[in-house]
This record gives sequence, structure tokens and C-alpha cells, in this order.
Amino acid sequence: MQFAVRGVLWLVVYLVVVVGPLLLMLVGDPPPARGFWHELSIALGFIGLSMLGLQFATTARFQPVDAPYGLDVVLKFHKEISFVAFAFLLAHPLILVPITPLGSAIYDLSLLTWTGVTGVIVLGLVVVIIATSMWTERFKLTYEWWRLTHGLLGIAIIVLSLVHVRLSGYYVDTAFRFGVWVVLMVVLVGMYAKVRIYQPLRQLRRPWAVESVEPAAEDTWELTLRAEGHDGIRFQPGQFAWVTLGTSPFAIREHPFSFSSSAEHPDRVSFTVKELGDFTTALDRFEPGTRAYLDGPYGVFSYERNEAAGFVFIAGGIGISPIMSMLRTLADRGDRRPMVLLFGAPTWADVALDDELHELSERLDLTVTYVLEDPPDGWEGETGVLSPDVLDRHLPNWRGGTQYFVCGPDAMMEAVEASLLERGVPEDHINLERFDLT
Amino acid sequence: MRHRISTWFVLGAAGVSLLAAIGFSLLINAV
Repeated sequence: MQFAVRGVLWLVVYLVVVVGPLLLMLVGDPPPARGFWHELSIALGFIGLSMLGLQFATTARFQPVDAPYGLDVVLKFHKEISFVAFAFLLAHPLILVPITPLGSAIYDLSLLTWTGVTGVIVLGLVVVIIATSMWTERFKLTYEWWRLTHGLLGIAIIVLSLVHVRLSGYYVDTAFRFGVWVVLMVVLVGMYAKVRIYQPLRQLRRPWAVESVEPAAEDTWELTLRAEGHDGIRFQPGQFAWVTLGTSPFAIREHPFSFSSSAEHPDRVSFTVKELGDFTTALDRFEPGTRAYLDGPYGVFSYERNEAAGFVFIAGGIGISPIMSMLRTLADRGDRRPMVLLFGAPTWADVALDDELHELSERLDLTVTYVLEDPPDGWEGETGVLSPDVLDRHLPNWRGGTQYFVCGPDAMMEAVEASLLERGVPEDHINLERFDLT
Repeated sequence: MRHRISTWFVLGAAGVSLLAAIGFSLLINAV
């Protein structure tokens, strides 16, 4: 409940920042109104600008904001609200076209003003920033280039928007009214500096070094880092961190990985990483001793946040990583609650850390069931995918008070979530972790 | 459930913002 209250509180803060500056335009002696549609258009433009500025806040990785929802949900909000902001910004000139000379400027460019030009450029850049985020691969943008261009385009949009507002001059005719927008935007864009400058500086003071990179399964590595001259990182098992390897924390080459190690060893942390892109391919190129940096922890996918009489863990492929962290921590803490792990993978070669899972099943009250799509000859276990039938055969009878943790490919998680709901598992007992942060 | 929160928040933020814009226009046209 505490998290729910804080979650709603942040939404209220968001709305105050979106709407507040607009209402401040009414303070003092506002200019005469020009009709309902004209002022509605202006209001939508101002609200769109506030929303654009707040996009910097939603990506600033504030842990208090992350705590109620999880960073993945905050970033999903960032993506989805960008379409709302764009709709408001687009409505702003479209409403003006039939009621002002703006429409004529479309046919007679000599009527075009700098206000119009800057407005059109802002809209164009917003289209570019959304399109390059939706279709990063189609634009052949690497993750690092996308991050860099996304930030710079964002700043350019805010600066040009302020120029547009100043040139239009109607509601910003006093230093106070224009100052409201300048201060707001400086504060919000400054949050970008928090992620790009302040946090890397903090990371420089707490360096890590690669201890080992061991193969954990087919195309999967267990990366272990040790703290260099500090006490490490306190995290909840199941959370993740942004990891920078072999380069400066200012280099924008960080990647979100789930911890797979026990939270009882904050000075020596591991990540189980599947080869998916440029960075994660051949992770063993990073020799022991390579400098590393961590930004975190983030995320809410942890048993520590939920009271439970027992746990059901359902992993698909590399989705085992955060679950492994929870199992290792539970074992280190001598937990005796009943647990079930259903682990789905394409083949036996894709099953990571099976030796250790066997060992954990002896240290914990843990039953492990593997489900293989393409099993080896002589396989007597479950085959296929994590279907409702498989769940029916292996979900425990002690369902009351059980917390479910599901991590894997999106399609698998959606199917498993639907099956669990059909079987009467309360929605707030199902915890999902998505890896599509970026 | 957690992942659907953002969509509800986006719809809520869009709705409140639109109402605020309409309210702003009505207010400034009334004074």
C-alpha cells in the first residue's frame, strides 16, 4: 500500500508540473483572450512543452520514482506519453490554421514568420526523435548512437521551443511569465546532466573490476565483478544495474543487466548475460581486471518486496538470471519456505547453471522442473513450452499466499500470466520482469 | 498488473491535461 500511495503521489507531481506553469500564465494581468479555440490551442502548446521537458525527468533514473513502479514501467510511461505530447503539439497549430493567418502561410511562404518556422522545426524534430526510437534498427542506429542523438535532439527541441514561445510573445510578455518556462526547462533538462555527468562521477569513485567471465550455457556468460576499494552495492535479489565494461562511465556504453548473484555478497556481483547484440557477444573478450562501473540498483522484481508463504519461479531462457539471484540469496539466508522453479528453454544446451540449480534444490525446499522445446534423446522430463498443461502438472497445491515471479521472452510471460490468472492466482501475486528497457 | 499502470497513468495524464487546457481557455475567455 505504501508503494501504491507513493506511485499515485508521483503522478500528481507530474500533473502539477504539466499544468502548473500554464496556470501561472494567468497570474497578474494576462493579455486579452482571443476566443475559445485560439486559447485552447495555446494551452495545448504549453502543456505539450511541459510534457517534453518532463521527458528528461522520466529518464533521469531517480530511485524514489523507480521504487513504486520499477524503472521499466517509468520508461514505458516515457515512451507512451511522448505520443500524447506530440498530439498536443500537433493540435496547437492545426487548431490555429482555420482561425488565424497561419493557414495562408502554407500557400504563401512570404507570410511565414520565425515563430512559425521554429514551431515547424520543433514538430519535425519531435517526429524524428519518436521515429528513431521506434525504428532504431531500421535507421541502423547503434544503441550508443541512439542514446546520444536522443539526448541532443531532446535538448534542441526544448531550446527551439523556448525560442518559439519567446517569439510568439503573447503570454510571455513579462519577465516573470517567460522566466517560469526558462527556469522549468533548465531544471528539467538539468536532470539529463544528473544521468550523464553526476552519476558517472559517482561511479568513478566506486570502480569495479572483472573477476571472471565464465560460460554458463550456449551463448550465455556469467560475468562476475568485484568491488575495488569500496564495500560494493546493496541490492535486492532480482534487481538490475546498468553496467559499463572496459570504458569510462561517461562513454554512454552502459547496458542493463539483472544481478544473478546473492544479495548477501554486495562486494562480488554476477550477471548472467545472453549474447544478443554487439556488446553482449563474446563477453569473454573482457579479461579479468578490466575496469567496470555499475549504476543501480533498479527494479522491483524481488521477493523482498512481497510477503509470501512460498514462491513459484517461472523462467524462460535467460530470464533465469534475476531468479537465480533470488534463489542464491534465499539459500544464503537459510530460507525454508517451499519453492518451485519451472525453467523453459529451447534445448538442454540453453539451460544455464543447471549444476548449481541442482545444488540449490538440496539447500532449499526447491523443486526444479525443466521444460525443453527440443529435448535430447532419452529425455524423460517435460517437453514443449510452458503451456497451461505443464503449469497444471507442476504448480503446487499450496497456492494461497504464494508469490509468482515470471521472467523470460514477452510472449512467454504473457501466456504464463494469462494461464495463472485463469487458474485463480490474484493479479497482485504475479510479478513480471521485462528486459525491453532500451 | 504493474506493466499496465503506465498506460492508465498516460490516459489519466492526457485526460487531466486536456481538461486543464479547456479550463484555461474557458477561464481566460470569461475574464
